[in-house]
Amino acid sequence: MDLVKSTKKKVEMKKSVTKWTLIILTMLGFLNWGCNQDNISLSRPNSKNIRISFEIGKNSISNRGCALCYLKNRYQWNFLYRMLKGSTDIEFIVYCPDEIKNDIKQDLFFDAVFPAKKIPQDNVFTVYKQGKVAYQKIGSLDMSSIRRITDMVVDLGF
Amino acid sequence: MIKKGLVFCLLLFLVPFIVNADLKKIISIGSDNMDYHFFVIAGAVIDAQNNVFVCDSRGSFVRKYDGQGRFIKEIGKFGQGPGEFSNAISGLYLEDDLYLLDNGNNRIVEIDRELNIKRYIKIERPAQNILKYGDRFYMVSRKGGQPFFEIGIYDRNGNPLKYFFEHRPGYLEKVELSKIGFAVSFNYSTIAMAIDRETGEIAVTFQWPGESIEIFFYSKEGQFIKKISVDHPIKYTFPEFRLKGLHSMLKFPDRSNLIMSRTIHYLTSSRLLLEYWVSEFELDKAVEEKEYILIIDKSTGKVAHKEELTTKMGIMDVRGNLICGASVEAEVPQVVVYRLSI
Repeated sequence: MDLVKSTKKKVEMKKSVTKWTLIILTMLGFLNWGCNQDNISLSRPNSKNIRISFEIGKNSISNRGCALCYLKNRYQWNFLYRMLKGSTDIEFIVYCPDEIKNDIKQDLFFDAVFPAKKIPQDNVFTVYKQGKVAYQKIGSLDMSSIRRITDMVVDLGF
Repeated sequence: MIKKGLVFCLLLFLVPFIVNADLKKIISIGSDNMDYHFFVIAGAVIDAQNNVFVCDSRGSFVRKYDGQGRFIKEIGKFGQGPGEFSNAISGLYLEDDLYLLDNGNNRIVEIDRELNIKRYIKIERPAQNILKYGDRFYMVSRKGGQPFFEIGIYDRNGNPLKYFFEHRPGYLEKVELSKIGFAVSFNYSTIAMAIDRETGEIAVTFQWPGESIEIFFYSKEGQFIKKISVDHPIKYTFPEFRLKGLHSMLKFPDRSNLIMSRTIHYLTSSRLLLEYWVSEFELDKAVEEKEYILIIDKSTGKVAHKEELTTKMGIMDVRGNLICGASVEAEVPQVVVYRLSI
């Protein structure tokens, strides 16, 4: 009798463990999927061959009321976009503090805007080729840098 | 009969002061092509061979174009080192060489006309524009902590020799500086200056003129010579209600004008050219803006000619009968050169 009871208990426990394992695994699965989704939206794996990013620095944002009055390199970035956007395999991404996202959307050309995880002191322009940094410029995007970026992109066959 | 005679006499009197002038655009530079693209044009000058030199503060470069507007050469990139310019360039002047006012790096850059940098000249304070005559530089700037602009004379190494035009001569003495009076003087004290390339005489005027356009003349050593008052070609009342920061305290009239004399240039030793902007406002909204050039006879103080520009631009250099400036009307800024036939 005791043996039957003990076997029944063991079976029930096994069922319970299996149930909880399944629940935990399902939850972990959901969590993992959620994290992956988050990574996609923030760091954006290379959907295009060349990615040019503009991380807006603290020096460029003097106050929230008139963020773009002080946004350095606005003309240069928009010119670069106009010059290179003929190619469909280049994407232009802007990283900025969340609170100025709406201002940015009105005055900068871009393919995507993402909230910055960390705001650099000065503006940072980076050219990625297949996910690897091919060129980086910190500070002012002058005509000399624009020529370098354009030549580089042309050399890469675009 | 007497009336007709009087009219005839009046016409005879006026004829010498009225000038027939014609403006024709001869060069236009600016497109999305890399060699012809500008961000913020900080200076544009033209030489006797019609070569055009342009400096761009955001692009940190100086370029040369030929008389047909074809690209010849570019120098510069952003930085503090040799061959580098800041993004706070605020003037370019052409004598035998080019003189670039690089405020961000606290220096004047002397460049030959083939765009080779010859030397750097340190300056003690940022300035608004730069002129040169002989071995002297002339720059408009402000003393640290002071609200009013003044003109500085500097030697060839950038050492200050003298400052003059510290305030509107004779103006502050007459005005009791109430809170608003001071703000008027402060906000509207920005000055424009020109130098006569023949004699070195300096003409100074206020960018925001009062009831009349006052032009002050100084010798190349900074000695006051004389002042002329030119009547506005339109009916105009000095608009105190446009004071920045005091809008809420003052009521805007239904319609008003705002005039700006942005730059002044010597056409000849006896004629001046004034860049004259008239903005019409309905309450606090600008509804129309027109740009004129006024040719002013120096001896009489009369407007000899008024011409509206079809392309609005900031005039940056006048050499002989050529007027060189920067237009921002199109999406891409453009350098334009007009020929003025008088």
